[in-house]
Amino acid sequence: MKKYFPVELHCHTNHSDGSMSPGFLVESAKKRGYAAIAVTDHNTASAFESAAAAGEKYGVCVIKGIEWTTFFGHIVCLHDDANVADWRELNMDNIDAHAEKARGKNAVLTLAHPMRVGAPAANGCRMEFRIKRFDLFSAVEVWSQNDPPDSRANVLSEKMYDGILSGGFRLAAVYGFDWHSPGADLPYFINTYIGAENLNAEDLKEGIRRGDTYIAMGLQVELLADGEKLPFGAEIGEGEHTFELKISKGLCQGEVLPLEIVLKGTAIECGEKAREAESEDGLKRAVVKCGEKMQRAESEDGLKRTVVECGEKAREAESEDGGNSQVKSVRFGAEEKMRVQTRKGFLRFEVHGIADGKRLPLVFTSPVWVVY
Amino acid sequence: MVVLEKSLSVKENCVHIKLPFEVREEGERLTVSFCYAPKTVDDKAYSERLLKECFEKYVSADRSDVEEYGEADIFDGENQVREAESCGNKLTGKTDIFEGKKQFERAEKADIFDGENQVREAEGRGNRLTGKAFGGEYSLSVGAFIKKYTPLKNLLTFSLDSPSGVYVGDAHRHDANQVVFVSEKESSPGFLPHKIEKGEWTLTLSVFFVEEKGVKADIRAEVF
Repeated sequence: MKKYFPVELHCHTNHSDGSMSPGFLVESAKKRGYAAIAVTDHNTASAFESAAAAGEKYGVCVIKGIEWTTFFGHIVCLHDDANVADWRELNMDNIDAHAEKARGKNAVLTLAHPMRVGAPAANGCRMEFRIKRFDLFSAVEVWSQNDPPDSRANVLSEKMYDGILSGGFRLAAVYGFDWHSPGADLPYFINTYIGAENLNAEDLKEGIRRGDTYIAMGLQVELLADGEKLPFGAEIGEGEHTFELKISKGLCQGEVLPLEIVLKGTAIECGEKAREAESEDGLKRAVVKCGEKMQRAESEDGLKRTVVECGEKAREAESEDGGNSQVKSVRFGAEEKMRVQTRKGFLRFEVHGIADGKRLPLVFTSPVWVVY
Repeated sequence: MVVLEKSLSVKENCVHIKLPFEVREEGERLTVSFCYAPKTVDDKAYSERLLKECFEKYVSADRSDVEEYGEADIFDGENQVREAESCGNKLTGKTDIFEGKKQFERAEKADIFDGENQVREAEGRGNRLTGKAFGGEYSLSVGAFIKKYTPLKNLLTFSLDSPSGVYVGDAHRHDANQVVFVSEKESSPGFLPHKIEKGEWTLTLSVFFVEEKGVKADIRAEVF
């Protein structure tokens, strides 16, 4: 039975520059409610053995990993053999060759905090690798560290991520806490959720490869398409679909209502404005394509008027950046069934909540892929 | 037996320096002492210049399209005015003003919005949902950014390879004085247990950041 497990994929111990021993990290992870963590120290995987032993003791699944901490960017590599690549040999231009080797050995590669500042404030932290083969990577840390979900660094990472998805590269969206020290005890944390049959490292890594992940702060979601459960990362055919995002507020202690769902992607058929079809049987009818459903607008009282009725009001799919990009977005209320016309491309979901006086994205999912 | 003793002046950034050393007889334990100085960059003017460049390259350059992402800075709800901790530089000096959606770039401690005179809670006051502070370099003005990252620190790390080609481990920490040991049974955090084999070992020095005038690194390795 598939479940979504809350995990933290980017953690450090005192085997690099973290302040927690592997055992303390695992204990802290248990306290925070993570089902699994990946131990990803800078340039070493020596903490895994003791972390795994602590994992057995506390009931936390521990995934072996390493963070390639280079001068040109950080890449988190989840793999049983920490030496799938020599991080010292990586440079801006040979990254694809090394990633290919690692991917060939089934490593899961994540671009870590791609839009963090770089040297000398944070040496090597900005993603400066000249990657062309994004298909060799499995995930992007779209949200990172302690930055609020709507912070600039995260917004820029989202933009980078949308660019990657627009290119057809199927990477999962994950959150990277970059957990170095115990930190404050907050009411709830930003979690990465991975869909997996069983709670073990292999199934979780496979979940990332399949793109069945989402990021959420305080909320949990499940996607349905046309009445059936749909994993993130899955493929669906072109045409009209009805999506439902079941949102549960189990972990959330703050007041986040009202919630709003935003669909974003290149797969949204843009229902810009009413289109006039040819007149049928002498009457002036306009066939309105609203992005959701076709409606016939009848002319009123003999006048050439088009009345658009979509149930509520015509929803216009807005283009994200004033018309140049193919990434569109459409908003819905949280309880709505979202009827969308789709075409080939990607489609991802965000849930926005009003909290503390402003609207904040609380959930960011990996996309589903619309294919022919 | 001392197998490596090197004192070197490191001036070049973003390089790996290989220091091979010979272990003539199998040993029980390899101890490496790794020090470099200075750790802290003393030259304030130099620090400030570098951080200003860093800010321009990584932070302000990425704010050029902030108008489109205005949602993040739009204050929802009615005319709520929250007192920011200190509101300096609202309309002059460091604050940039974007006409399109009437958003003001963040001032040193507060976000200010036009029209409705809304002042959003200062970054320093904490995150909106829990009252605890969140970080985020992009929310800072250049002055606050420079202040946050001063003083700058030089950063060198090192890793070890055994004669049989095994990557034994890495000491990626900010301490400028470290002593690590490797032995067959156990090793310091960051390193795998490994037999102290006879043959050529390599210590690789990785230079993440050194200031203009360079640092002096003292590296010593002994086998018992």
